[in-house]
Amino acid sequence: MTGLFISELERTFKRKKTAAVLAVYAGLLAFIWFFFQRGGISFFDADHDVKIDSLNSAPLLLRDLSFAITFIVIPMFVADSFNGEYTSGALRMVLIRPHHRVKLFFVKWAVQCLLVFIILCITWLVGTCLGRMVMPHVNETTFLGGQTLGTVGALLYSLKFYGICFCIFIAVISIGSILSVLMPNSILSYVATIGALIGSVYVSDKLSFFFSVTDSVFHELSRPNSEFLVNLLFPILLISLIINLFVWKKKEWVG
Amino acid sequence: MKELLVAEWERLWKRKVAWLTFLLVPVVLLAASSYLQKENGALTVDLPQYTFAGNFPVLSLAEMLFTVFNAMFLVFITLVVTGEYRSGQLRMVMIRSYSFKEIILAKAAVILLFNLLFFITYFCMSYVIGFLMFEHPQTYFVFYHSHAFNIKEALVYNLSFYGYAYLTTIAICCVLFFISVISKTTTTAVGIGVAFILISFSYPTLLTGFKQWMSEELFGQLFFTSVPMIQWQGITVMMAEKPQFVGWNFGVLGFYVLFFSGLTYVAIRKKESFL
Repeated sequence: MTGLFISELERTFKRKKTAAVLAVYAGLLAFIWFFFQRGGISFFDADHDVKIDSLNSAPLLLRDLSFAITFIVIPMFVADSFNGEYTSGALRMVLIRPHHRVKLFFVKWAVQCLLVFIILCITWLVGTCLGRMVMPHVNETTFLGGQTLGTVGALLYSLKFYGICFCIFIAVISIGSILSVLMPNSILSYVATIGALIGSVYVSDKLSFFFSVTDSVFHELSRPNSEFLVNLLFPILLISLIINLFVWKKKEWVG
Repeated sequence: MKELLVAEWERLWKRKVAWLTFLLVPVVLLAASSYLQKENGALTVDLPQYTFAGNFPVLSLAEMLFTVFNAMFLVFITLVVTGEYRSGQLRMVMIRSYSFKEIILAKAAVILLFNLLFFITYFCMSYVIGFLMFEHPQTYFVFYHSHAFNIKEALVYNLSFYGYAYLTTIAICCVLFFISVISKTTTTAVGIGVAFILISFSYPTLLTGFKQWMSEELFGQLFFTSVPMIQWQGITVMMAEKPQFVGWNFGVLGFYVLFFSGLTYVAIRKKESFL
């Protein structure tokens, strides 16, 4: 399993694209940060604006970057890993070894989650540390819904915020991987992933968290007892993983 | 050159996606109509946003132009240019005595023709679905026009709206062609294409934050430097009773077309076409 994991990581980073996307993301981070410092104002959602201070800068930083993650980084990585490798033949060398198919899937899935996790960690660190150092210092800050939190509370809030966002991103990865396995080439799997994300808005208002990730997380955290995670996100995650396993096992792997 | 065009055309239609796209037109229109019917519930009849059979073609196009249409071009241009080049399918064409420039030109012509066909299908289908799903009174109101339109005037209005929309898609196609030609893999091409469309959306929205510091004129001009924004609002503004930004918008579209086809020209001159 470890060998498979390392081989998957190596294959991922052998594509120059992976490094390039991470570099571009870092550039974007710097760019948004520059705007943060100049503007000093951000938004919880379209109707609620807020002054950025040392405690709320980490969640607000992710808000501006989540679009790039859901619409460019994740679909590109997932399409490359789940579809591009298979259609280009790079996966053949792995497939000829006697590994369990399910293991192959979980390794790929874990690597994608790891990449997103790294991206989120960097964003959180930048948001928190630079926020402490550069942004106007406050002792307590108010989040959407009128919650006033102190230093520790705000730190926990931002961790919770990033955790929920991470779960949503994992759901996006899982849905993208289903589509990538089903589609005949990587262009279609990329576009189908984006189409599914945008199309979810038309299906139900509750699913709009796929499109406007952070806005809906702010809304969820503003409510006193939300059951969003238990009732909606985890079932979606579980069902998409089961479908994934089913599709992955049923696929005729003929390289 | 004619044979090349025919070959490209045949290769395009050999894909199942091409047929599927056309089959998707009624589905997209039904989705748009159910959305617009929901909107109608919250509006009064005298507003231009209120959907009737006569303005359904325009409202459904405005709804779908910068999502479905742009996504479709992204798929087809990447498939036809990067996909064929990278999968080696293009080899069979390149061993004949055609230059790379001719091949790209043929591809562009075929895509634009395909695009035209798609627009015509969308227009006809939207009239059919509009008359099935919405009421059709004698007259109704149109954006930025003070007098009511009857069906005949509306047809002319709709046709010219589709004409303008077609022009904006040409500009988008030029940009996407350049991206496809320079990209090494198909996912890169789609990624950069999506990034281009996202950026074109986000910077005008960012600009609205600075609206108070600039004049109306300058704001409009900066706002309409982005093609998706022309698709979204620019066309209705251009077709108002007192047209605004007509010259500017055409200038922007012309700039996109010339600049990006120039870049494509430079890129394919430098490109090694050994596969």
